[in-house]
Amino acid sequence: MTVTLTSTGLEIDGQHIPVYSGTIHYWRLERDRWALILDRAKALGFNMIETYIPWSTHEVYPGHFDWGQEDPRKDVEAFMTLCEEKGLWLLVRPGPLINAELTDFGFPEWVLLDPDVQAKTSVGGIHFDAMAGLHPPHQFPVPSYASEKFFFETGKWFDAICPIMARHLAPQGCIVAVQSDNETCYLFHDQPYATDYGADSIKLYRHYLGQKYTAIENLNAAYCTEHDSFDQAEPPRACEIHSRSDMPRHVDWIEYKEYQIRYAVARFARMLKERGLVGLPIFHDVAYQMSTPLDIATMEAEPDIDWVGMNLYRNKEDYWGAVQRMRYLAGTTRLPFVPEFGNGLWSHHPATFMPDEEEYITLSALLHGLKAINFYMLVERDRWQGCPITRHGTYRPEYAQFYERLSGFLRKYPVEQYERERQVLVLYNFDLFRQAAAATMLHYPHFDLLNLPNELFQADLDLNLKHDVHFEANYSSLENWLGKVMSDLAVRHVDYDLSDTHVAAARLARYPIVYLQATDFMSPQDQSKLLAYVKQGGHLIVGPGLPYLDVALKPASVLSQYLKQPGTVSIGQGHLTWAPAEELSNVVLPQPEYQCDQPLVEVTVLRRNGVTLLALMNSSGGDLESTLTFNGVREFRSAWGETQVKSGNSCAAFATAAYSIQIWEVA
Amino acid sequence: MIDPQWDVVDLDPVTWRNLGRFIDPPQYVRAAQPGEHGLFIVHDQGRVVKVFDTDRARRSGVKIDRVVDARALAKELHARGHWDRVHVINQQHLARVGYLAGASANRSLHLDGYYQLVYDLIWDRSDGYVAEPPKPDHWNHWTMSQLEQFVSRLPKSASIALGVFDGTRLNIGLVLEFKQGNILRVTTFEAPALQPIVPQLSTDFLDQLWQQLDTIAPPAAVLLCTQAAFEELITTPDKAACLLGAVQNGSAVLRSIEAVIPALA
Repeated sequence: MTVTLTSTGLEIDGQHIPVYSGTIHYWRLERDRWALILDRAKALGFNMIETYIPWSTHEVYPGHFDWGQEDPRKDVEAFMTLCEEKGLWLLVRPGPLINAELTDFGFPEWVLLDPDVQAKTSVGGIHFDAMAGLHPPHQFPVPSYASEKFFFETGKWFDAICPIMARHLAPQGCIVAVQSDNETCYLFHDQPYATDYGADSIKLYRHYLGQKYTAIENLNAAYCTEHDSFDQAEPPRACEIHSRSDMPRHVDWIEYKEYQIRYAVARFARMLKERGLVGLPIFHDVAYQMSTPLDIATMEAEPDIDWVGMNLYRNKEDYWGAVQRMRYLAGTTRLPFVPEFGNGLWSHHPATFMPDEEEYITLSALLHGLKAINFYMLVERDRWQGCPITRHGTYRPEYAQFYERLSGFLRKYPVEQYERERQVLVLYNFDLFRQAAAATMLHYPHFDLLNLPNELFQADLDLNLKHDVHFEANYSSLENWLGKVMSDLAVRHVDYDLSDTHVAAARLARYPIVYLQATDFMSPQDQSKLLAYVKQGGHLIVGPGLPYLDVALKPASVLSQYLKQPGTVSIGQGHLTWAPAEELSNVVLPQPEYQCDQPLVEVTVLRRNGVTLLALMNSSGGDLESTLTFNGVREFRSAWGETQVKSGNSCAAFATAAYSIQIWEVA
Repeated sequence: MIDPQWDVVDLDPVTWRNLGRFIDPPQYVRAAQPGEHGLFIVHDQGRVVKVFDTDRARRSGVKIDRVVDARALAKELHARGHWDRVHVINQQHLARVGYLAGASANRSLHLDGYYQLVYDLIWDRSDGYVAEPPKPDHWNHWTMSQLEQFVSRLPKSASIALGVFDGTRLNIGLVLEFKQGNILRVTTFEAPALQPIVPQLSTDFLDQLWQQLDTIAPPAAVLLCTQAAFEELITTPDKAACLLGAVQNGSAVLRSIEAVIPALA
C-alpha cells in the first residue's frame, strides 16, 4: 500500500500522518468560499479534511452526472485539486449510503423506487426509513443490502466517481483513505425481526446457512427439521422460541443479519478496488452498536476492510457512554477511530452541543484511547449547526477557540502516540448478546413513537438457564455482573479497555488480566481461544457463571472442566478465576500509580518517551475536591488550560469543576 | 407542510438548543408519559404475551391469560388505583400499523403527513391500543389541525418569526419561510438576510424585523415575547387569551397580517 494504516495513524512515504480531520461538504458551500473555508480549517490546525461524495447530488437523473458543469458547487475534482494546492489530505466517503441529512440520504430517487431494491419489513410492507427514528425531511424506501439490483446500480455510480477519485490518490494526490458505505445497519431499524425479508435477502440468508452448515442434514440436525434443501429454510419473523431446540434457527437469523452487513461493506470495498482505488486503506464507520448486528472485530478481520471506526455524538451528561465506546475501540480495532465525532449536530437533534460540551467530550475521548478523529462537521451547512466555521466562512469564536487550542495541545502532546496505562481488558460476551437479541419482540415499524419500556420488548423464555439473559446482557446496567466489574474497576481507579469475545487472540495477549462476561452458554471456539490465553500466562476472570453449554444450549465444557464452583485454578502458565459479582472486590489487581479518593473523578495516565500526562475527569454535575496519592515527590504542570504548577510529596489536592477535565504533565 | 427539499440554514446554536425539546416526535404520539407508573399488557388477538409493571418495587402480581374486552380490562385494572395508566396493546394492531404505513403510496406524503397517518393508524379508536386513562387528543392543547388551519391562512409566499427573550438575552430567534403552505426554509435571526440586527423585546425591533423579513418572504406574523410568556403560551388551554394578556401586560409584542388573525384567536 502507498498509504499504510498503523496503530497511530497513516504512513505515507514513510511519514507518520495523524488522522486529525474535519468534515467539509463542498457541494453545500458556495464555490467562491471554498478557498477561504479551507484556509480557515488550516488555521485551526487541520491538515486533513473529510467529505462525502453524494450519489444523488451528482447523478441528477439516470446516467446524467453534474461534475460542476451545471452547478459549480458540484465540481468535486476541483475541490480535490484545491485540497492538493492547500496541502490538505482528504478522506472520502462515496457511499452509496451517506445520510448527511440529505433528502433520501443521498440515494437517487429512481433507485429507491425500484421494487427490486426495496427492503421489506417482517409484516410485509415497504421499510421506510422513518419507521425507526426521525430523519427529516422525507420518508424513503430503504434499500435492501442483499438486493442484486442495488449492487448493480451502485456499480454504475462507482463507475462514474471512481475514476475521478483514482486521479487524486496519495501520495501524488490528496486522498488517503476511502470509506465503504456508511453506518450500514438497516437504516437504524436494527432489531432482528424488523427487516429485511425481501426475496434477495431470503436468498442470501439461505446462502449463509449453506455456508455455515455445508449440508442440509447438518441444518436439519440443528433445527430438528426435515428440509430437502436450504431453499426450504424460512427465517423467523418474530421470537418463536418455545424450547432450547428453537434457539439455533433464531440465532442463525441474528448471525445472518450480522453477516449481511459485513458482506455488503466488503462487497462495496471490492467494487471500489476493482475501479482503481488501491494502495490506500478502505474503512467503514459503525453508527453506535457495540454488539449484534454489528460485529466489529469480525468485520475488521474481513480481507477487504482495513479499518473500522465508530461514530460518537454525545452531550456531557453522556460521558460514561462516550468513554465506554472509546475503550471498546481501543480494545477492539486496529486504529481507534471516530469517523464522525460530533461537533455540531443535525438540526433535528434535541440537544445541540454547547462549546463546553464539545471540549469535555472531545478531551474525554482522546484521553481514553481515541487515536484518530474526524470532526463532523468542521463547517456548518444545511441541516447542521454548532460548528467552529459557518457556511459563509466566518468563525464562530465560541466554538472555534477550542479547536485552535486543541491543535496546539496535540502538536505539543501527540496523544495518538501516547499509551494509556492499562493492563485489563473486559470482554462483552457476543453469544449472550445474540441470544438476548433473539429473545426480543414487538419489532414493528414505529415502535419508537410509543415510548414503551425496554422490558416490554424482552420475550419471557423459560429455557431452564441459571442466568437471566436480558439482565446480564444489558451493558448499560450497573446491577449485573458486567456493571459490577466496571464499578469495581472505577472505584479502584484501574483503567481498562473493552472488547468482545470475537477479539483476536493476538490482542488478548497484550493484557495480563481479562474479565469475561459469561453465563450458561458460549461458543466452544471462543472458549478455546480464551483457554489458550490462560495457558500462555493470562489471568481470565469469568462471571457470573462459567459456561457449560454451547450456543445451541448443548453441553460443552471447555472452561467448566477446570472449575466446578467459584474459585481460582492454575492452568498452564496462567489462572482461571470464576468470580461471582459479590467476589469481584477480592480479585487482586495491579495497584495504579495514582490513587484518587473521589470515585467520581476518573484518573487516566498516558505516557510517551518519558513524558507522563495525568488527566482528572470530573464526570459529575457538581464541583469536587479530591486528593491524589502516589509514591514520592511529583510536580504537576498544567498541560491544558491556565498555566498552573503544583507539587506534592505522596499526595496532592485537586479541585475539579463539574463536567471538567484537567490535564497535567507530571515530573 | 415540510417541503422535502427544505433548507435549514444559519442556525444560531443557542436558539437550536432551546428549541430542542420540541424535536421529539414520541411526545406527540405516545400514551405513556415520562415518570408514570404504568401497567402494560401485550396480547395477540386476546392471548396474553407479556404483562409488565414499570415499577419493579411495587409489582402487584397481575396474572392475566386472555384479553376479552380490552377497554373493560383497562378500566377495571386502572380502577384498582395501583397504576397511573394501564395499557392494553394488541400486537397484531402494531403489525397492522406497520403494514399499512409501509404502503408504497405513502412515499408521496410529506413527512408531517406521513406521521399524521401513523398517528391515525395507531389511535384509530379500535381496541388495538387501549390506554386508561386515554391519551389526550392534543399536545398541551395544540393540535395538528390548528397548525394546518394557521398555515392555510398564510399567503402563497410568507415568513413568520418568533423571538423569545430572557431579559435582554435572546433564547429563541426563529424564522420560517412558507411557500404554498410548505415550510421551504427554517432559519434564525442569524440569517444574513436579516443583518444587521440587535434583537430585543420591543416594538422598534418588531418594526425592524418585519421590514427585514421581507427580504426572505413577505412577513405574515411576528411574535416577540418573554420566556415566561412563551412557556405559558405552550401549556395554556386558551392560547388566544394568553397572547392577548401577554401583549396587554407588555410581555409580548405581536404583529400579523389580517388573514391569520382568525387562526390566532
